[in-house]
Amino acid sequence: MSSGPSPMEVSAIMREIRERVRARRARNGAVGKGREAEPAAPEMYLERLTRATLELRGAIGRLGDMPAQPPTWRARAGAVLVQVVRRCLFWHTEQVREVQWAAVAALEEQTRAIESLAAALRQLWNLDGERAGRQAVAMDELQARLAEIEMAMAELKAEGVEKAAGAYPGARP
Amino acid sequence: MTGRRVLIATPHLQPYDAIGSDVEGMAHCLEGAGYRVEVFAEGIAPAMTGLAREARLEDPAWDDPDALLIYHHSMGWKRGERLLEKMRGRIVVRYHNITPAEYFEPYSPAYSEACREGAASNARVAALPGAMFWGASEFNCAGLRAQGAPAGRCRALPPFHHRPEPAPDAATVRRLRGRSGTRMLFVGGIKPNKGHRRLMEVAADYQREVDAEAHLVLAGKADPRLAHYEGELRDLAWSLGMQGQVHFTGPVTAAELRACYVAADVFVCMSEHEGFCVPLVEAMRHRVPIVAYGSTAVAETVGDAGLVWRNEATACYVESIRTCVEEWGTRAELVERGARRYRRMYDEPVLKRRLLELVEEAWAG
Repeated sequence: MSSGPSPMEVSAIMREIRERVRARRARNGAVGKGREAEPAAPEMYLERLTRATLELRGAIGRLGDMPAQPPTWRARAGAVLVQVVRRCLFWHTEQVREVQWAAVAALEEQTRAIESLAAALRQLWNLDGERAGRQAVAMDELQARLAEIEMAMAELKAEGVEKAAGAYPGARP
Repeated sequence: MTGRRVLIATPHLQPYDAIGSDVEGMAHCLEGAGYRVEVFAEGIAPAMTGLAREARLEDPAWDDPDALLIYHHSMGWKRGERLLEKMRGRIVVRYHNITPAEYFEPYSPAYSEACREGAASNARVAALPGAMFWGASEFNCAGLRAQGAPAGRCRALPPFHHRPEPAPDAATVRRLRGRSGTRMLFVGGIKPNKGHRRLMEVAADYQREVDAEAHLVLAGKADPRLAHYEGELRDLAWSLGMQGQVHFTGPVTAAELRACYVAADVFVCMSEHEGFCVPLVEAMRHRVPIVAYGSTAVAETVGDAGLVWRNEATACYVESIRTCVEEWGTRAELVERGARRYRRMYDEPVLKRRLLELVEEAWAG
């Protein structure tokens, strides 16, 4: 909402309030909860992302590995076949690994970028809170000073009236 | 004009009461302008005995054909209606509105009956031949016209409410400011038409959604005949989890009342029936932003100097309070508008000028 020097129309302020309430209702309706249904902190998503990247990294190492082999003749014969196919696809396995390492690298880069954004957001949030706190304290001090000034003025006024009454005996304060 | 006789009659005369202040203000204004003013009441509080005398039917004042009677109509007053019949001079009906009896029915049969009698007398009073009608607001004038008062004889005149203004009570200011959290204020007697229930619900929602430390100050006298209503409000505060955050001040002195306004962040009015609502203009005078439910005369009194809603959800009031408290640009704009509106429409010199014009018109008409 504009807080500039131009006078605001009360109807515009009220329209904006109504819009905000409507938007909040729509948001709360979508998640089926009240105002408490704020999005989770960015740190939580970052932790999940880091875990998923680690899992992907581990999976790349296993790409092209031989499967588990039970101690049977049939399994042994199958293993020989798989080994033959693996050797035939040596060039393809390596290409898949490279693509996967590149994906992991991109994911790690993205995680770092999100981490730095989250840190900046947190800093802004804290700054905003501090500023609001300082503003409230300053306002309270200002109001307290105003009240003191009003009281002092009332006392001065009373004193002036008394003095005037003393200067002009018979005059009613 | 000098030396003309003005009679002012009211059923009851009490200090720090909207009608008492109006009577007192009118009397001082007219005396200052050179009129001979006499005030009459059936019930006179000890503090007001210097201003008024008992309204007796046999008083010769009613027989003076050159006098003007300003009759304050705010409830059923049998003796008052007989005075109107006896009055030989000009008559002005000063209408303060009558609270619908239904509000009082569950709590006080006596109040309920007085309101019913008042409503029944509206049509008789509105039919007075040759009388002028001064409503405290356009809403009141519309009520009179609906009862049969001629439209051309109805005028709006906001009530006199100006009292000597002592410095705000320092202890009260310190106490109210000593607590953190938003300070919401409502000023008015603890009566069922004042919308305290809805107000407390709004405050509870504000506390839940915006500021857990917010508190609500209800400045106003509790009436022992409406003790059950006050008990219900205290129970509601408890059930809303606001027992420590709703403060019933009880009767306050002028200095304490000023302290309440000085310390308030926002004035919230959810009253359901008002013929004018003096606390709203006091809030303007003390530069407190207003959030209100625009019932009866409330919207007209506040005008564009506050956030006034009609039939809106509680969330709108909560957001309005948040806006007044947190958005300094909007707050400053509303406060400035309130101060300007007060100076333009409700300040003492403005009302004095208007009253003198209307008195002259009543004499001429």
